[in-house]
Amino acid sequence: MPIVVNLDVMLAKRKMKSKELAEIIGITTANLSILKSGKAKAIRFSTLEAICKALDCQPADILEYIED
Amino acid sequence: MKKLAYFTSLILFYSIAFLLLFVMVFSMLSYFEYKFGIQIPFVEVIENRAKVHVPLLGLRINVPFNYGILIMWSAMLYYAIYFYAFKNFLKVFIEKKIFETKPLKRLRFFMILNLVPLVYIIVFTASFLVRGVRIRLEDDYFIVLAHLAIAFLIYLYLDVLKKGKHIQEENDLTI
Repeated sequence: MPIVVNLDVMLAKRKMKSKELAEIIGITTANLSILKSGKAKAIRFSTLEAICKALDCQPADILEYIED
Repeated sequence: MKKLAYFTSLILFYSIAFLLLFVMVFSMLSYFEYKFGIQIPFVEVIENRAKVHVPLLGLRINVPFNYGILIMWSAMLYYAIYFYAFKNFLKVFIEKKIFETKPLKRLRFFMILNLVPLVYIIVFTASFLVRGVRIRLEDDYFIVLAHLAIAFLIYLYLDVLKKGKHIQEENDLTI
């Protein structure tokens, strides 16, 4: 899929662990792992909002479009 | 209502399984009465066949002492499996998540079971044609037609379930 999730990069920048982020945004670590691995089919605006709030970033910092 | 349908099918399956097992066992035992003269309860030997009396229901099942018994046993085995699959088919409706692989497999199995009589009727008709016996439209053909109609309905339902499963998967992967 041409949409790449750069959640790992943002987590590293903010020096935050996946488990910590999952707890803050209220999703399971398994679901966060699906999101990080790019296996997710879609992301809810509410989840995106919570991630942006927790990591103090913009949606574009997490999602990137790379042409195949 | 769905639970009622499931429990009815459950009772139906156990009743039919018990009945078929009873007939099967006593049709086997009837051979001993026929061959060795051993008295077997619920069995009455008349010339080259026997009659198995089913208590409570008052049924009298004819048991032939030739290859016909194999057809009879296979039909009985088929219907025992059929009603087991039917019970599982209705179980799909009382489960919390129906758009999953397991209910799909159960439905597919039930659909295939409904197609089995078609094979039987083809072989049956072919044997008549080979022997040059005139084919008459008897009950067997109508039963096969009924099975085919059920198979078609299940095929449609299976398609809905497949699409539902796809949507379910998409939903599960929406974080």
